[in-house]
Amino acid sequence: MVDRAESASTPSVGFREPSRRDRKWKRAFVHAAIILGVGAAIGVVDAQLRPVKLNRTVGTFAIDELPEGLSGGERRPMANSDEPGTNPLTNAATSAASTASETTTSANPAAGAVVGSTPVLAAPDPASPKSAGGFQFTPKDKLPSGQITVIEAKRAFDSGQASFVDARTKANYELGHIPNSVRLELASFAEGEPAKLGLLPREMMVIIYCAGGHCDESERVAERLEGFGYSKIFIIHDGFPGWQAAGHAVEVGPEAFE
Amino acid sequence: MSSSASTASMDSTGSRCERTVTLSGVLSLVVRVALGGMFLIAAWTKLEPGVGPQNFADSVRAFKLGLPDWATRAATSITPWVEVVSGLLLILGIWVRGASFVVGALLVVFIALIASVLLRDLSVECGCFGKLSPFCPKKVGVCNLIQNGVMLAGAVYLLLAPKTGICGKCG
Repeated sequence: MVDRAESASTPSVGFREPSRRDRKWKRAFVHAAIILGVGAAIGVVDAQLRPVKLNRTVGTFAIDELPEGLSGGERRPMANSDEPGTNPLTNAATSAASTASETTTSANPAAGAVVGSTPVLAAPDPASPKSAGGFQFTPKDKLPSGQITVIEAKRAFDSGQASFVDARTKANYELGHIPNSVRLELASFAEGEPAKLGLLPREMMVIIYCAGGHCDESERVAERLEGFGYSKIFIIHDGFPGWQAAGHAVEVGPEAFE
Repeated sequence: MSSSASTASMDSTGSRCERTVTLSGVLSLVVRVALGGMFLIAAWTKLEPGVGPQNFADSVRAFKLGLPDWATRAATSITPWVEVVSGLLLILGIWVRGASFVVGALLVVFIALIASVLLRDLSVECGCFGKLSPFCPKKVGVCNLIQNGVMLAGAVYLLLAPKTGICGKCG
């Protein structure tokens, strides 16, 4: 009672002893600030040790955003068929459309471009351990961003709105590749811009593949292509082995564009 | 004088307290371990050697927030480590309110980002749990809002709970 009487008679100076509740919240805020500070400090160090690339375009948009037609798998007119001169592969396909080999199975812009090089289709090798029966296809939800399944690659192939790039060695390419793929390995970029980039329109989707699984040639080639202004790059996660195991068209022989 | 008042007095003075497991204490334990565990898993997928940081950076960019590069880099590198620190503290039961505050703030930001994606009708992958999608499809949708809302409710519970330890009398 005495304390209360004294406090009542004492003029208020605007100061109040923090209550236990106030102290609790103040402590929580301090702890939160420390947590943020520690996290930020470690994050800054980590960013120096493992810098990320912000100019890369691989995986910055979902497959759903791809041009209409890639989701349905139906055949569509070639993207640039009304713009002769812009796409050498398309032009070749257009000019050779009437004589295109029966082995070309789609409206791929590169279709028919290999006429004259005697394309040969190879059926999946049933004896191969990675052929249809034994191949473990990676499900979509297990893929890193920017990588696509064989099914999505096939849809893009059929739509005719994608260029395919084989990032493997020449020997492997000649043993079998996705029809009309342009072969571009990392070494192709050693002396600057490869002439073959003229075969790959920048406004179109570029789909790269290598030997699937843990091969990283596709990623390296993708980085180089980004450096040359390509913005829609995808990688077939299961690579050529997946494509082959799915039973899709395979072309054997040297590249027509070398 | 009630027993709860007596216990509060002992806690505030730091003297011996009763070790009684209470329902709210168990609930707090479950919530903070679950919340902390989810944040640790989410952080691991963003920090995973090799692809983690780059995939997370790609996810952040896919949200098309118009952030300058420095902000994107900061968000990409700092967020997972803040998740690690706060997740660990939640699981260990240390600085639970502070950690809950941080986790709650992160979740509010995540919810706002997801809502903005939905409002802009973007089709992007969440990146919330990296390659994993334990509760929702990878593509950002209402499910992600609900998931984060539930987690936010857990964080708010821990923030406001009178005691955050399993021992109800000894917060």
